[in-house]
Amino acid sequence: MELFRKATLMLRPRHVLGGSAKAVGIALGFILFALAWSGLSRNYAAEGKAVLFPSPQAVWAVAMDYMGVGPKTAVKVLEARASAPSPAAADFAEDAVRAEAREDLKILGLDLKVSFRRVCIAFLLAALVGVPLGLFIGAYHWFESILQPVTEFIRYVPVPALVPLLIVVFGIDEAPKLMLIFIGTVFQIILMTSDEVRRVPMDLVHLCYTLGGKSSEVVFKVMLPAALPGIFDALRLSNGWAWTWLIVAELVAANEGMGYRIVRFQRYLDTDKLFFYLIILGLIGLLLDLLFRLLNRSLFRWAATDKR
Amino acid sequence: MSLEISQITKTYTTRRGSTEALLPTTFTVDPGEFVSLVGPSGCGKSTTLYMVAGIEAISSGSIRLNGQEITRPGRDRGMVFQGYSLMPWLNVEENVKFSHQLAANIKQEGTMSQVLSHYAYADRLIEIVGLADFRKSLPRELSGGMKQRVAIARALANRPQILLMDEPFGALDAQMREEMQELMLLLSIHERTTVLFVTHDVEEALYLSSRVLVYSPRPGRIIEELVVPFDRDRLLDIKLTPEFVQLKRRLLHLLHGSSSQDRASILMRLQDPANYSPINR
Ligand SMILES: Nc1ncnc2c1ncn2[C@@H]1O[C@H](COP(=O)(O)OP(=O)(O)OP(=O)(O)O)[C@@H](O)[C@H]1O
Ligand SMILES: [Mg+2]
Repeated sequence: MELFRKATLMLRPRHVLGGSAKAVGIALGFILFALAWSGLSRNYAAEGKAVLFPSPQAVWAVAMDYMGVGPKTAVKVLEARASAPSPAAADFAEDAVRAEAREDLKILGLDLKVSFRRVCIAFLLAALVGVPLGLFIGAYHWFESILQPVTEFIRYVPVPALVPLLIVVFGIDEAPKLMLIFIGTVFQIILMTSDEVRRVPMDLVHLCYTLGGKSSEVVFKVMLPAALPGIFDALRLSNGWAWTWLIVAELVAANEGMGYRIVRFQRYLDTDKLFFYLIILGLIGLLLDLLFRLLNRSLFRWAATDKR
Repeated sequence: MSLEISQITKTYTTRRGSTEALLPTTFTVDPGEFVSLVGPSGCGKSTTLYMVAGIEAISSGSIRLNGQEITRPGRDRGMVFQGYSLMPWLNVEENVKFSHQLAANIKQEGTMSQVLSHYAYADRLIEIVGLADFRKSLPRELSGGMKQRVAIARALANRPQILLMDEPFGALDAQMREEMQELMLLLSIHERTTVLFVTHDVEEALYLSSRVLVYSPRPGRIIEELVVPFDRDRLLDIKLTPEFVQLKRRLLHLLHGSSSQDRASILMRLQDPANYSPINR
């Protein structure tokens, strides 16, 4: 009865969970996710189409193979050794198999490096352009009247629709991919930054003036620092978008990168590897999100909100 | 050296039409005076103060400080708002010294010794308002009263010619409010600060001020000027003396001349069978 009362208490809106209860919740979420996934894959397997939708275990095995300790590698090593005429030849054959397995890992590393570089360059550029523009839009009404409506308009042009144009204009090198990510994020950053700046209390602005502040000081010594935690959070959100646009760009035209590899896997029906890449993309997003949050919390201790 | 307000009016124009907030209003504040504006809610007290601060434009009339027309905010008029309006990212000391890093002040301070004396003055103010132990605390770690002490110290650290305060203690509990009133009174005496103070707490106005101006309901105008007859250096106990209570009653009557009418109309509405509500029955 007591337990029941506690449980119902926990279910109320805004009720803050303790550490262990939260951990149970998180675990439950992932377990349900895995169950749904394996249920689906079993359906496919029953129809003999396991290759179309691999099970969690199959993807786990692929992940292990990438590390060189998976079942496929082990089987290949055994086969290679068995068909070798001498112990020395067996060692040689095993090395060859293991090198082949390492090749996959190397490709993954390359894909990650290329994709990270694209996102980093384009996203940094977008932040460098978007944050100052957003700051000025939020601070100056005359600037807002010039830029805001145009920005809103462009933001609502679906970014993938720009791909053909970008390819025509920039060719198929790095430029169109960077531009797609840049365009896809810069307008979001501008608008979210300007919103944050507009939210700075008017009292603080007035106060700066009555202390003798100039306009530029109001903008850079009051509005910017006051809005910075919010701007940082806007960057966290648009970083997520940057990865989305990266994949869009790489699906269309690329010779390496996470998105390109996913298309390759599709073509050769390597769906287990495809799933593995998807999971890596999800993990990257999760990690970057966490990183942004931690940075935000440690940089802007003054803005931390209490949960209660 | 004084603040001269002559025939200022304010009309707010919004999409739904225009609101007359202030009828022609004239008064002066002499150096060292502590003048309070009291009046019912919405009568234009804050509007008056904001126009003096240069934050709100005046519709007509003129405001002069030392003969100079006021058109925009300036460091000669310090401001303390009802909301604490501290920079949340700066600690107590940085908040108090915020004005020191503004170009206008750096230019005016000139020599190194002047700069240092400004810093020393700010440090002294932090001690005077009783926050010496909280120099490094962030605003979110302070109580409402402490935040308002910081705001006062910050305004004074800039050495304004007049301090403008808009219901600075309005959000504090009764006890903290009295503590702050005492601090403010002694500060204004010892630092010879000129203060224009907005409140709707009649007792607060009487206790702090050398002069009280009473506004009519909106559209506001001054209906009474009261020179407070007590010695400036007064104790909190003065609030209990018959003279004080009598003055307080007079001001309250001016403010709530219609309060017996209000009571009657509320009772009428309560007892009207058309408004009968079955709650608690
Ligand atoms: N920005 C504005 N736009 C339109 N009307 C306004 C604006 N600010 C104030 N008013 C109107 O002007 C009148 C005076 O407002 P003001 O804030 O000066 O009152 P107040 O005396 O300070 O009242 P309170 O004691 O409630 O603070 C009010 O009736 C209000 O509705
Ligand atoms: Mg007001």
